[in-house]
Amino acid sequence: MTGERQTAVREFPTGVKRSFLVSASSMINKIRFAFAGACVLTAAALFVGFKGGSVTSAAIAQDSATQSSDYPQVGVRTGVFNDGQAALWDLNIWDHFHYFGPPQRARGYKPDQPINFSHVIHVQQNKMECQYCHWSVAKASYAAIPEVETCMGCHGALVAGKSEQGKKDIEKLKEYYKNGQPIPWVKVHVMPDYLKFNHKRHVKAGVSCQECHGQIPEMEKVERVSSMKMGWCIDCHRQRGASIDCLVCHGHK
Amino acid sequence: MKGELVQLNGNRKQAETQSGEGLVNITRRRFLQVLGATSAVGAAACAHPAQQEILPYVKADPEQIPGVAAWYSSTCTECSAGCGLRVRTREGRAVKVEGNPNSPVNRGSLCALGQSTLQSLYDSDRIRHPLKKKGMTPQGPVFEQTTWDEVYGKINEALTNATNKKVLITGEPQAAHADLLTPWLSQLGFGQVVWDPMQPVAVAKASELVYGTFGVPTFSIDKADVVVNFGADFLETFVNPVGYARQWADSRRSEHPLRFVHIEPRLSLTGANADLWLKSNPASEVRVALFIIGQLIQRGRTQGLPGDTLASLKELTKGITPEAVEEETGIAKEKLLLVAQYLSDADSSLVLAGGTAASTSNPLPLQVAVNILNVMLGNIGKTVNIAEMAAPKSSASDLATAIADMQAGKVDVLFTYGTNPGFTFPAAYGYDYAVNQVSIKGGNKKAGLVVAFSSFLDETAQLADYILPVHTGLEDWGYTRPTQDAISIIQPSMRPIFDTQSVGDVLLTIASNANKSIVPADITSFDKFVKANFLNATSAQAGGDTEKFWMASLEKGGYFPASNNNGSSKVAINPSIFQLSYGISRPHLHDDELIIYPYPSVKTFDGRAANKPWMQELADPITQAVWGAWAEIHPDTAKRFGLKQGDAVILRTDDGEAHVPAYVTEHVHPGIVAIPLGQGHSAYGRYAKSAGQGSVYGLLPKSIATDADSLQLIGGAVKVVRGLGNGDLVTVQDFSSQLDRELSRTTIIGGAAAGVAHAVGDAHASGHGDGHGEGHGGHHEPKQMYEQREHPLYQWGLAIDLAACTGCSACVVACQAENNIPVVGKKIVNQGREMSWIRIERYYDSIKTEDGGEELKVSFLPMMCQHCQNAPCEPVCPVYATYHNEEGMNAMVYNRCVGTRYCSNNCSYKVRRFNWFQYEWPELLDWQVNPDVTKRTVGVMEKCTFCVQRIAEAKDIAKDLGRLVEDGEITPACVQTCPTQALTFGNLKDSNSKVSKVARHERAYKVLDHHLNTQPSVSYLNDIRYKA
Repeated sequence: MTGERQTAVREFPTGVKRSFLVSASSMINKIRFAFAGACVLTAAALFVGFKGGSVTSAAIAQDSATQSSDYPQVGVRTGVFNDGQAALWDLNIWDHFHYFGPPQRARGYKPDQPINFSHVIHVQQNKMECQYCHWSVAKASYAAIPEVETCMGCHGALVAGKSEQGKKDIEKLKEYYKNGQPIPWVKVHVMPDYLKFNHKRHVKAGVSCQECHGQIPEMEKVERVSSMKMGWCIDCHRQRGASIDCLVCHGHK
Repeated sequence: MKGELVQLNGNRKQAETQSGEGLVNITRRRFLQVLGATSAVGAAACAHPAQQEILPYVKADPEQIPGVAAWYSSTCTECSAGCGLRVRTREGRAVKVEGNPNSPVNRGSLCALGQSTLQSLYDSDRIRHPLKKKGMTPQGPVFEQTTWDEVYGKINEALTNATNKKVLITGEPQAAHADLLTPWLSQLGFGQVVWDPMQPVAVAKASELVYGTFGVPTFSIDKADVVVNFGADFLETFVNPVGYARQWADSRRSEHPLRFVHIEPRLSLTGANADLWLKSNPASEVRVALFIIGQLIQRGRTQGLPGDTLASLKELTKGITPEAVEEETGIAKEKLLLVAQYLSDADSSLVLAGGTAASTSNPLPLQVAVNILNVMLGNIGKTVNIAEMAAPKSSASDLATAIADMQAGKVDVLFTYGTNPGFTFPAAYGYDYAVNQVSIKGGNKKAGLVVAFSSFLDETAQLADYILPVHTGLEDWGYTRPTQDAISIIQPSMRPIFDTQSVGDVLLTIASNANKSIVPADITSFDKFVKANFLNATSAQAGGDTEKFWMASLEKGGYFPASNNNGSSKVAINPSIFQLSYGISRPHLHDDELIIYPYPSVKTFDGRAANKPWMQELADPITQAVWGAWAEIHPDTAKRFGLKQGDAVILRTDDGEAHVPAYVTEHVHPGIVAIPLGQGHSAYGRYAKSAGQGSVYGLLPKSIATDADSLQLIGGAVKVVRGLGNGDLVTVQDFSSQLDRELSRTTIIGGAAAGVAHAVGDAHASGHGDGHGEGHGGHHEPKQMYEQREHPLYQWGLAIDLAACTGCSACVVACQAENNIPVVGKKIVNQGREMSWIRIERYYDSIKTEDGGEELKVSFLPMMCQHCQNAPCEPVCPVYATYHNEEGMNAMVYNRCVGTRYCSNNCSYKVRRFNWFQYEWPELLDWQVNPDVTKRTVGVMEKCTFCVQRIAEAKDIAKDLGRLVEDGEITPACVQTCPTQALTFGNLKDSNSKVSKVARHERAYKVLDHHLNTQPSVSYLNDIRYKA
């Protein structure tokens, strides 16, 4: 992103434009505050209801789904409260309220992907290893999204797909490859800019993929199941005796 | 919103004034309006970004693991020294350059200019496709996009039709280009003109007269006990500044440090590092050299001299009395005798001349006298290696002749590349007019053709009819020859960013289009040419498997055999040297005139670095000025002209004028006005154009030192006129005194007559309260107010040897590159809001001499976060954003910082920087941003982190290997690049680590620790100075 230096003070619109903005902003703010109030009330209701054990949001449904899986799990931590329980500030509705963060950083974020890649078919049914595609996860801080070439290894000549949708998607994949274009996957686990997460260290320390990413093998469409907020990280670091020095994750990328 | 890194235009000024007014005369109603607008802006800023994409490679690159850096060896092409490079690339983009430890030239270090080579690659103003001149406007020429084929067609047509001369003007060509040009020039009938103002041609000419061979000798500064230097800036820009700085420092921190005397009318960075700086009258150095020759003859130090020359020399130096020389040169005769004494007492010595001081209208006599001195003192074969000579091809008279030819319509085709004569040649010669003559008339009254092979629209390129954009150094193939046997390969570290081609390929294509075969048929491109030539030159080493040898050499950076070729001490003195005129030639000055003294600075060299924002914002180590040029004037002279610090000054000659601010300093000769070269561009790019008005080259007279074929820099008279108001001088340090706080300490060694002595004691620089030193320093055990920290595994620490630090500022640029430090521009620096994490403080002290007088002592103090164990910044942070971690580091957590700036207020070292604004990188320069370092946003504090990302990386690797980090595995960017290796980093917890040993050195101290008990993790070692 390029742009002139942005500062609140220096970039005031001037003249007519400013008065327009002021009125517009006050209107927006009125709506916002009303919305915020509604959200707080709804959230409080949800929280109370949840305490009574009657609320199942999408994320919590996902949590319960993980309980019955064949894959190793330590549980999906969802906040400063106990395992499997959503904290008030962990509920999606808060995350959609933009003062606290964009929806991309919330549990339950489940964007549409350019290709309907199914981990169920690849991992659960065909028993592929995570690291076959995400090969750099134990080598680097990034868990690489596989090269288009890797997909073509199987789909180039051998596997054409079973369902109609599958066939279509594989054609789409071939199109990308033919044009030499990367597949514009939508990032599910969006992390802020000011922290370092090193996949290699976690994998080598024996943290399974599912602990953070949930039961990916059972997901038709990848969803963010963990809050991935700092409390959630620290929780695990404390339990495992890993360093909780700020500089381990912050101060660099 | 296509923005600029630094905006210096009117809009910004306007915006500032408006907002300023609004905030000062604020009413309640207005306040609420502002508040409303602020929250609107705030809400807009918080709006979530569109969903992010995560793009995989289409095809796997076996050399790339996402998130892991790939390194490529190459060679720096910024100047002709040819330092080896290691380029760090991430996901196919070069993000950092470091020195290649294999290269014998720089041994792993780089200068500030080398560090900034990335900003040549990512220059926002690069030419992105071939250009064709559309026409002229009052704002300058206008170009439009064209195709390579069209330009090649035009070139071929012009070459076929040309009846007159064809000229190729280049910079000092790298070896690969030189090898290609030899057949190219002869086959295509071109005449070559080489122009690089930084080449010491006079040194090479004088070698021919005294040693018998044309070339610049290789000097071994570390082998000398005494170095007497007539202005050669070997710690800044002279021939190989990185290599020479390392040699100098190796000697200075050894048991037997060399004694260094510098003679120059101005205090240069090199002079500031001397034990004794003698301020000579401009252009009078040759008299000093002759006087010393005479003294040595009197003392019988003539052993290296052939017998027949001794008589002639006696004749030449007859009648040069100390009194006469004092009168001529302005240097006290006692000092002159002292210098002669040093030289005659030393077993091994070195005498050098160069730089601006030696670029007079008549530079040969000084260089010859210096060579004679080296011969007399028996330095040939010891400190002066005349077997390893580099012959510069640059020639000012060739260029002047070519310009005259062009003006006379005798040139039909003109190609330029790698040089900027439109800027770096005195404007009085009328290069621009000459090029236009070629362009309009050419031969036979038909239009000629001017083509520039250039990636930058500089003063030379914008005169061309067509511009072919060529690769920059980090995208190109090639090689240099740092010594006679060694070859340093230039290898591309990334794919070309734009539609550019290698100069080599352009030349090959032009030749093949003209049906000339200049290379064997199987060499179809320049990279093949490079490979074939490299393998030819090293065929003895390659053995059977040449491909394997080639790959190994690429990885290593080239072929670097150990060179033991010190050569003979046999010299061939040409008797014609006694016909030279050894007098002083100075113009007659009117009352309103001074002698102009333009010098190449570490910031811009001859002007080639002017469009690099890092180099513009770098504080000049001597004046501490940023962005643009300045005029150094002696206080007495300033008084005479009614000038104060910062006043606008107009320097005017018959040929042009330059507008610069005055910098009043005692450290220039009263008769000169010193001004750095290379500022005041009228083209080249947004940063170059924004810095300064009027170039020094525009002031220079139409005079070339014909005997040495080089540019006459010093000696021209220039009118000094006071301009209107403020000259916009911005310096980052306005105060030059240490005020007895012993920030930078000095150990005084030796006496005048003691010759070379061991380092003794800890005598602080005079004028500093010794009271502080006694019983304090590292020995005291003060009461601790805060809980003392435990460091279970590591305690990171830095040690800086001030005896080795030259103040060259390479570390500043390296830090800027590594840590994504924004460039903020002149205006914001003026508000004291510069962002650099490391600065070079410069102090002027004095030390007492044997005879009770005082000599100037200049101190350079690299200052970055001291990572105090009792850090004043930590307890005042209300949000725990800065804290002490268990590795002894003073950590800064950006996302926790709320911007109270208490920490900065409480910092004793003033090293914390606050992000007053959101700084954005302009397009292309943002490609350089280090992906391992967080880009800080507005409102947070930042400071040196000891390159925490490198520490994390080293710990990561060590953990994979199941061990702790070992000594030497972590080198922060500043430590890595330091040309003199003055900085050492490591684990203080390990008492055997290198940094622990340095920190325990008898010269070690910590800045302000004895006053404040801050317990810094950074140790400094006293500077060393000989007592004069």
